[in-house]
Amino acid sequence: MIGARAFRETPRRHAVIKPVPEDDPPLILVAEDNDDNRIIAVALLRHFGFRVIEATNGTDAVEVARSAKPSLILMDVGMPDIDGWTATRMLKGDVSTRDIVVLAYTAHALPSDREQSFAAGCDGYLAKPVEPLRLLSAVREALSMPDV
Amino acid sequence: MDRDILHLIEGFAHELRTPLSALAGHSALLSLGVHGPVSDAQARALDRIESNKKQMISLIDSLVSYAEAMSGTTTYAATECALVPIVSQSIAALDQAALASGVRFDWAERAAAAGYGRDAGEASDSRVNERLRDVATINEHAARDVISILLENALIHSEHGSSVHVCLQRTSQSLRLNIESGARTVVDTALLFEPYARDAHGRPVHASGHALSLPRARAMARAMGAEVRARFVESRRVLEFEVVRSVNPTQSTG
Repeated sequence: MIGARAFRETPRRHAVIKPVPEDDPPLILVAEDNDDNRIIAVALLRHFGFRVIEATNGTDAVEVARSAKPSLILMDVGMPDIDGWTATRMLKGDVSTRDIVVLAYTAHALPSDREQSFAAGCDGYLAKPVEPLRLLSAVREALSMPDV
Repeated sequence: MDRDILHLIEGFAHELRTPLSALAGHSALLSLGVHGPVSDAQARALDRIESNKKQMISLIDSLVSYAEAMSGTTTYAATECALVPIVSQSIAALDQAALASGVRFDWAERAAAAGYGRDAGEASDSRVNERLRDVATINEHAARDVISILLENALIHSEHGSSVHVCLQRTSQSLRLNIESGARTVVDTALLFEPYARDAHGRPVHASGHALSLPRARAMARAMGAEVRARFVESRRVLEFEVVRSVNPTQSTG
């Protein structure tokens, strides 16, 4: 649990990104129903060495998280069926998944969204649109992996 | 502005931002080399995409902000703020744009007058007669926005090699920020606060991307109890912006 934190500003294009350990790359679950957002996040994280699995709705996200036990979930809040907050509550209430780091990923930058995300048990919060390098930085920071 | 129109604009802005974010995300992946190496020419093209994306997002944000201000539904939470640092920081944010236009801001000695900034030690300078009180009860974010818009427009209306003079004055009745552009061509100030106004020849009055900025600044200022005015001074061929706000009698003393 990393608690509420503000992520650093985006590193610029030519920032040196330290590679993810090749022998044991963290597994990330990208739970996002918007195709573009999901494709971008998945391509970015894979490019920088993470293993990535996907879910396109809340029910699948909970199921996949329980079976695959990822290190981190990038959780879209506005998914169909079970929303991201409910899915997070379910995972944080389950002893087998409660230690998975969850980053909420929301379309609105309202303070109430942020509060609701942390109330649901999310460990961090990202408001869309998120520039890819900022997303990468947030994931690395949440996993205590320095960028450089 | 009708509340329904505001909701329409807000909803439409959200719908525009979604594909725009996707375009930006995909082009960022290309820039990062996620899909393979990028040539210099491709990198330049991607930079142009990025810069146009930023402009589009800024236009969308301006439209929403203008609609909110015009609808009268926005309330700006006010706290006591010192204006001199806000003006100084707004000027500093325009440093690069001023440099590119060959225009300089003349403001430092006023900042010294209030005891702020790098020239604070010069507060006893003979040009400065008394310590300026610059505190007003305003919304800092909105005030910063209004001041930035006026400074930016003053830059646009200044010719290369000229100066934009910025002055903050306080009387017992009001707090007044005066921004005077460097000399340029005649400006029809009646049209400056009209969104997307065109002159008698059908030409846009505003520089590209600025068609909403002054109307927005005026609406935001009014929502905070201030007034934004503009006048063209024929004799010196300068455009003068003024923001005036009455002060609370308890703040005006001392």
